[in-house]
Amino acid sequence: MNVLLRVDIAIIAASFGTFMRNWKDILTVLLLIAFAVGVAADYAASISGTVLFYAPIAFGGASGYGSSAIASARIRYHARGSPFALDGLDPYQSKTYFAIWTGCCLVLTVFVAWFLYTSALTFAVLAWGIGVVAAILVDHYARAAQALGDGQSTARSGRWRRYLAYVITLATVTAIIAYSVIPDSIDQLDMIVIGSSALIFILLTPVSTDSVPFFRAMGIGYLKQCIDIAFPAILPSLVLIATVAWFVDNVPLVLSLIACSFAILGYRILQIGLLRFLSPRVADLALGLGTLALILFGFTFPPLAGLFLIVVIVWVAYRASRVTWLIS
Amino acid sequence: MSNPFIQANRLCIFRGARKAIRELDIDIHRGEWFGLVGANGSGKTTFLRALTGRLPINAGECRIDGRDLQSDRFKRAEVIEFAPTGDSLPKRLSAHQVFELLDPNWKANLGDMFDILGLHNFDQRPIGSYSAGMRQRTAIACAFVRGKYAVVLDEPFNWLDPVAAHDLRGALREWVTPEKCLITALHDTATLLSGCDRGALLSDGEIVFDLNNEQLTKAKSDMAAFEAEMIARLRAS
Repeated sequence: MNVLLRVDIAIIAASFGTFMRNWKDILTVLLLIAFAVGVAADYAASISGTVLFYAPIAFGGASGYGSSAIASARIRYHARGSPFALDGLDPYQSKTYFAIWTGCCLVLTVFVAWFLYTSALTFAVLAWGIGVVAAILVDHYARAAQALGDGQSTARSGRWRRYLAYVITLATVTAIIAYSVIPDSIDQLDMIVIGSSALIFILLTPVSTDSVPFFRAMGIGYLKQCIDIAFPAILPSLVLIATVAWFVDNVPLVLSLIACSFAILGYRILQIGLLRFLSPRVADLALGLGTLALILFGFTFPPLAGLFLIVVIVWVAYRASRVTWLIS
Repeated sequence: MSNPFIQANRLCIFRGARKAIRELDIDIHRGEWFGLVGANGSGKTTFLRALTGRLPINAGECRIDGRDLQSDRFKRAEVIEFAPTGDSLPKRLSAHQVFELLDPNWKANLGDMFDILGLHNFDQRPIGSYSAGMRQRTAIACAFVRGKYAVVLDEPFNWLDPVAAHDLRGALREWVTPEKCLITALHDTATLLSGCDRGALLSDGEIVFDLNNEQLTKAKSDMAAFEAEMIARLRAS
């Protein structure tokens, strides 16, 4: 049997054993399952045929993408330094591991489609396949980007990002000027400008999950890491904001641009901070949960979002600036 | 002298945009305990992880047992075993379960190391309940359970109490028979002198000081002077 799969099964069994120490725990879980099945069945009976048709397709896509992405991430985790690194690096072991997990999700997709809406079975399987392929492509892109950033071609990799960002800046600036000369010449200018600004920032502030802890271990401080990463994006963003402020009489757009730049910058600063004292996986999870909480507060009670953001930034900055060395 | 078991020529390893290892040349032979010394961030762990396939090697030649395995991470990992960090051990599993998953013949492969590392005291408990020292012992044992002839240990004496460190030093010295080779990243000159056959001082991804057997033997006669020299070199690097 595949070693990586045996490791997962052993961990799941051990976790199950920890949660199910006595009959009361088992009874609670059984009751919860029965309740969940009852609620799901009741809900399924009340929803329309269209929703029932699309639900297995959505499930197929999500399960295909999720299983493929998780299996790839797990293989990469093992290969980089777990006790089972040899198995993670073994092409046969890693391929069979990937096939087993994605295959299990295919079976689950077939079961869900058959249970909810049998006519959607073909589409659900197709969605599963698209999900798997999409996750593989994303993984390959991430690996290629990592390889580009990890070698003599680093300068080249950095260069294409910079060139692309500069081309976008130039194109947007030209569009804004064109709009100011011939009003109403461009539809959705606001969206184009904000989208370009976001793209420029994303391209010019890449954060590597490997490099941040590495440079931290070398004694590079939190503030310097943030400045190093944010610095290349500042000038193009200022050019864009200045152009909008000068040529377009639209204060809300200028404020939106500034807010967008600050939002991405804040995200990056938090990401760097979390990576300094948490493992990459936990940092990503914390960042995702934090962003979700922020969005939730932003929609329900906006003042709380600002307060939450300040508290999070202060806490992360406090933790991140305290860690400098590996042994700390 | 025999052909080197591990031979690196102009080896380059990048971490992000930074060249962590710069055109490094190194020869390590069978029957040797090779000690790699250097400051934090000098590139020791990066080099050792790349040597054992955990990281890619970006340029140069990496010959292991005569074959250039620079571009084959799996083959490098297959030949040279690397002790994982204590943090990467699965917390829900016990050391016993991890060893069993790694190799069903783990007991025979570990041999005396099992008792020397004191694993019998805690190997049935979940790793999540271990102290840092226990995790370190488990991680060291992981490097030996598959019975490989070449093993890399990254700062193995961290977290160990003085008795465990002393016993482990002796066990490692005994383990290095003529067909095996051991590479360790170290921070203490005492182990370098008492255990290692050869060594090198790494600074900013480059070897700045080669320590052959003769130099190490000579240093044993005046350990204080040797330590002072090493500290001076580390400060300068």
